[in-house]
Amino acid sequence: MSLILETLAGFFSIQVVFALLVGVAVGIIGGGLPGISPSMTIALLLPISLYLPTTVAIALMMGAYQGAMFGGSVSAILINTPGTASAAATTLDGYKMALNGQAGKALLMALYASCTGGIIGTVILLAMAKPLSAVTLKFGPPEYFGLMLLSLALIAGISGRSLLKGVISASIGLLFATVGMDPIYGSKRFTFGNINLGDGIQTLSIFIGLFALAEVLSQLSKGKTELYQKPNTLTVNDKLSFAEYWSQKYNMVISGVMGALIGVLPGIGGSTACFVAYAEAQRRSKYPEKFGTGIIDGVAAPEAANNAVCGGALVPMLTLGIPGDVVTAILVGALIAHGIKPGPLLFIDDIGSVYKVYIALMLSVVALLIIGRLGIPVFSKIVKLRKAVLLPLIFIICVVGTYSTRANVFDTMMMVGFGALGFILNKNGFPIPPMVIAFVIGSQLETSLRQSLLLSNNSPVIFFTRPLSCVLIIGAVVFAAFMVRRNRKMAMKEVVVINDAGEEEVL
Amino acid sequence: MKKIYSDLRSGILLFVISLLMYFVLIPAQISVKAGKNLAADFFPKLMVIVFGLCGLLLAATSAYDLYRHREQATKERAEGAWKTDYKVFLPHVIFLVSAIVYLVLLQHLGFVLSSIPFLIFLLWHFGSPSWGKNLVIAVVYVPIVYLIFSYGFRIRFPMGPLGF
Repeated sequence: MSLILETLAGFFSIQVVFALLVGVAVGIIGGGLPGISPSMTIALLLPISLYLPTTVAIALMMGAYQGAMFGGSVSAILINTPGTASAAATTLDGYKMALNGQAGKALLMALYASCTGGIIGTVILLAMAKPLSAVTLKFGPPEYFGLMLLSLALIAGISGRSLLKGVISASIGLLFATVGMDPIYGSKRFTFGNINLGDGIQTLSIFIGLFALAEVLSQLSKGKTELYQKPNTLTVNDKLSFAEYWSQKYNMVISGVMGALIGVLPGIGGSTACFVAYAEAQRRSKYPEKFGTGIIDGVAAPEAANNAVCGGALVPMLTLGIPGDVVTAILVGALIAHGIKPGPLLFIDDIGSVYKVYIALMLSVVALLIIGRLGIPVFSKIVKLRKAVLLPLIFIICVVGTYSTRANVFDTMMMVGFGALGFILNKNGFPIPPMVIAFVIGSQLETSLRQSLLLSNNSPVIFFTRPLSCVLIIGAVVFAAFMVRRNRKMAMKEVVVINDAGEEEVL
Repeated sequence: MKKIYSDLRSGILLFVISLLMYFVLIPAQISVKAGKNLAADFFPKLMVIVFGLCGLLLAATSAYDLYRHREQATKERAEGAWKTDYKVFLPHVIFLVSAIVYLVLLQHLGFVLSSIPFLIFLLWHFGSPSWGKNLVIAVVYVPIVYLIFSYGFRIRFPMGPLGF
């Protein structure tokens, strides 16, 4: 208890409060600008966080995470373009409300629902993390390998329409993870005699290159005219009454719990959570026919769900060291850079850091409420920024961000290379998230595989003679099969059309 | 059809890359001491095999898809629809080449002197037509970024002839 209070006391400093507020504001802006994803925003904040004390850095990242999840709704409501995939369901009623002259009401409902969802997500995290970590303490190398295999299986869930391309993307990520020192014998691998590669590829070069620069390049495909266009936004001047907010209490709680539980499952993510919550709210509603015409129920449900995902997604990240999505993969990178290694041992060796994450997540909800309430008029204007101006400014930040880690232009060159690779892979339909997740877990996967095989004189039977490892491996196979089936179903529902530019477009 | 051709090309390319990695790059880049069990090249080789097999599978499934739709494929091939118009990637190539030139200049001219002209060019390249506006944005933005990172986060940028 004294440790909790001590950790909490560490949060009441000017720097931490400032970091929370800045993190939330940057997150809202990043999430709110279409084309700037939460992962890109958090990847760009990562280099800054490396120069901050651990508590301040965690506060900054958690604030940005919560802020980005809400930020997507600002553009969804005002310009009918979800800033993030998690806000896609919000456009259904949010934009209709804005067209009906209720933009302010929709934005405030989205904000309050996001805060409610954020609190529910944190509660779920508190309830699930400790018991789960107690189970994972019994793990040896074979169990760790099973665990890593399970997290690779989630790649099936984030591979889009082609599992094969997801596996290729993941194997590229695993190959990148082998650059540098061999974890068992210490031999150098793929360094090409370059001392800059001796410690492996810098995580930031990969994160910023694959998420930020690849996105900048793909936006460039839209052409100068479209990039210079200024989005038309609707005016924000109406309010939400307390009665209107309170009328959504059950809707928000149910959606929040659903969002948090979906967030716990690796690879599912916010976009699924918000649509599931929306559909459930419509099913439970006394007036389901009004959904899609501009009602606050249709804003409250997806927004509560997508912010609750934040807490849920941190459960596998903290307890198992598995990043469930790309944002948590970047967060794992950030925590490791600060000497915090997510996984079951974290709850034994460094429980203080776990409390820091819990408290930061909880306080980021308060920061979201403050910044969101005060900043809605400002953020409404920012979403009108021209991409032709915004994207070059982002590129300069990408350069400074990667340079700043080791004051080394080589890392920046690598970032440009990864940006080009990410763009090419994306253009050819290869998903990027599996590569990043595989890169993050690559070293641990290799170490546990080789340690297990060395223990058993190269016999793979060791993975099936230990019950936990066997269960995890079977779980990985079942999970992958389930995800493949789900992806196939989704693909069958999709319709491919040829757009004006002559490119195939999925409806 | 375009997607199938793209997958076929990707699959073949990935398979060739995996062969080159397995037989050329790994032996050249990973020194394996004799007698070591599960040596340093074990995992990279395993990954390259997975990578190569997936590439082969992708090429094979695409070839099968082409065979299934052979009539349409023949017709489209005659029309040249399978070709990729590489001209659409010209802005990307210009952007990447200019970024490399900028990073080289950054080491000699320093952050501010190299970033201002590069940002002006980039703003124009992304579609901001007014050179005057672009100049103002670059002259204001670059020094702000420099001051925040060099004084706020104590990052030492490469020093140019002017010392910043």
